[in-house]
Amino acid sequence: PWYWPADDTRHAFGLPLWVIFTLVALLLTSAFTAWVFLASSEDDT
Amino acid sequence: MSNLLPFGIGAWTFIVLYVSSLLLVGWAGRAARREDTLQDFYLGGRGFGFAVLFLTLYATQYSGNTVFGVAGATYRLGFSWLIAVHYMLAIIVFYLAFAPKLYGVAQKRGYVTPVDYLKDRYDSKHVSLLGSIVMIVALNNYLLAQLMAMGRALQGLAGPYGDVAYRYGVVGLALIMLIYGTLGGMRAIAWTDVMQGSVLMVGFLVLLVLLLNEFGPLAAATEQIAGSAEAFKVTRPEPRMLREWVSYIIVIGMGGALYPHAIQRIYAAKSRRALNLSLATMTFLPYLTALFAVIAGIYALAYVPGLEGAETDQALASLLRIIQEGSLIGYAVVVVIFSALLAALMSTADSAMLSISSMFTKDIYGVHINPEADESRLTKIGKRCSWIVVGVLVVLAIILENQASLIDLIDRKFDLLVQLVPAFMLGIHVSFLRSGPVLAGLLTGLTIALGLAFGPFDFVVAGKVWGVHPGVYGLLANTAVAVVGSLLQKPETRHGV
Repeated sequence: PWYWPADDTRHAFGLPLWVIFTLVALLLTSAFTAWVFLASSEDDT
Repeated sequence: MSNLLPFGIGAWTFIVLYVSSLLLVGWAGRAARREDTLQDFYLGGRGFGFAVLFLTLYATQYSGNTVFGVAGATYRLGFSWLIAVHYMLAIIVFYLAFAPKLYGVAQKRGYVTPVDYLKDRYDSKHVSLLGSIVMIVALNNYLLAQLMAMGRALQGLAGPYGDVAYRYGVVGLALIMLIYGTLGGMRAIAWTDVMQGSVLMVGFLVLLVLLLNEFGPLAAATEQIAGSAEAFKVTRPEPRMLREWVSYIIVIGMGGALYPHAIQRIYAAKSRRALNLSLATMTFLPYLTALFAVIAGIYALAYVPGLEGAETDQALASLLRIIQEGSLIGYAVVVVIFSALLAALMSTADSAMLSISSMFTKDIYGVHINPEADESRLTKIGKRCSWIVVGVLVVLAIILENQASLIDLIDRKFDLLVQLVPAFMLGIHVSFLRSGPVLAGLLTGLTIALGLAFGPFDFVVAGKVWGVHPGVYGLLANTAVAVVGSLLQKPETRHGV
């Protein structure tokens, strides 16, 4: 979260907004990684 | 664990039965062996399908530190320690950089240890020997830390008999691990990992349900912290912490992907499909483990304020004590969570033990001491090596019982392991990398990493320079030497490809 304002106090679902953004970006990274692994499995059938 | 109430006879009976059942699995692993070879003993005959491979990767990757260390660090740093979720995911991302290709080469060439790849790729005894030493030293540190954590886990539950419980705990659990590990090798260890991985997963899920039930929603805990003197722990990390974030991703993400026992699990996959499916599933496990530990740390920060220094590593134990005192069901569930902690420790320690044994036997004894030894002889030597290594580390764990700071000092395993990145992750993709420059790069990286970590420098703060691990500076120099040196070599002097 380098791009997030240091003094930001906004919340969503009761959590700091930067935490929500970070978790969503992490989930996107997981989904992309899983997709690459599974796609390369199909290449190797 | 010293904040927990001492366990009663029922709880101890449950734990003893659970740990003893691992011996049966060891015996079953021995009964299932097909031949007296290194491949059968150290790689389970390369026959692990998705279910076993996934659970053994999971149980091995998540150690006792994931449970208590992450909760403690979150207590100290707040939401910034989402870094732990990211670095556990980064390990899987860095597998993507080399694991599928390494699997294909390992199948064709019959690799057993990670150093077999180095021998084959660089054709240099010096690169192979230095690679072996780096991996064995890093794993010995890791195994010692796990053995000490086993002792500490039992120490806190034995009331006034803590010191006795520590010693019996270290010796007893190491003995059980040695018996099933040397009986059935990798097959037995992977099968016990299926049990331990399942217990670990259930333990984490139960932990989250307990926390929600006992303390209410996470939003309320966050609000509690935001209204306290610790409010800065819910705001965005400061710039130094952001640099540490990147550094952790590099040093733990890359170093963790090069754990020798993890590489041997890549070799042990039955098929490329089983390997890729296991790693694809592993990408979602940081949310079921590291994230749950972060959430536990946030609850502790909100509802058990005032812990300082080393006490913060007891943050999760403090929460569990509140749950334990609340009801009989709470007490029983804490016993399950404690079993999950033991599972996390033992499943990591046994894999490190087997990997050390394989590298000493095949890469050092079989190359430098007795090159004529056949596979049956090497397997016997490997089993003896396990007993000697664990025996020495058990004695060390007992001697160092009250010297946690000394352990912190020698625990630079990721700074060491990350220096193998050019040889493994780069070497498998680019053909111009040569053995001489790779060796020079490795020596340069190790010198810089260890020099910065142990040297008397004022600019090294909390083991880091400008918020970055010494291993990262070593890796940058290491990579530059390996790449530039290889490019400058005349084509006719290039070897190994």
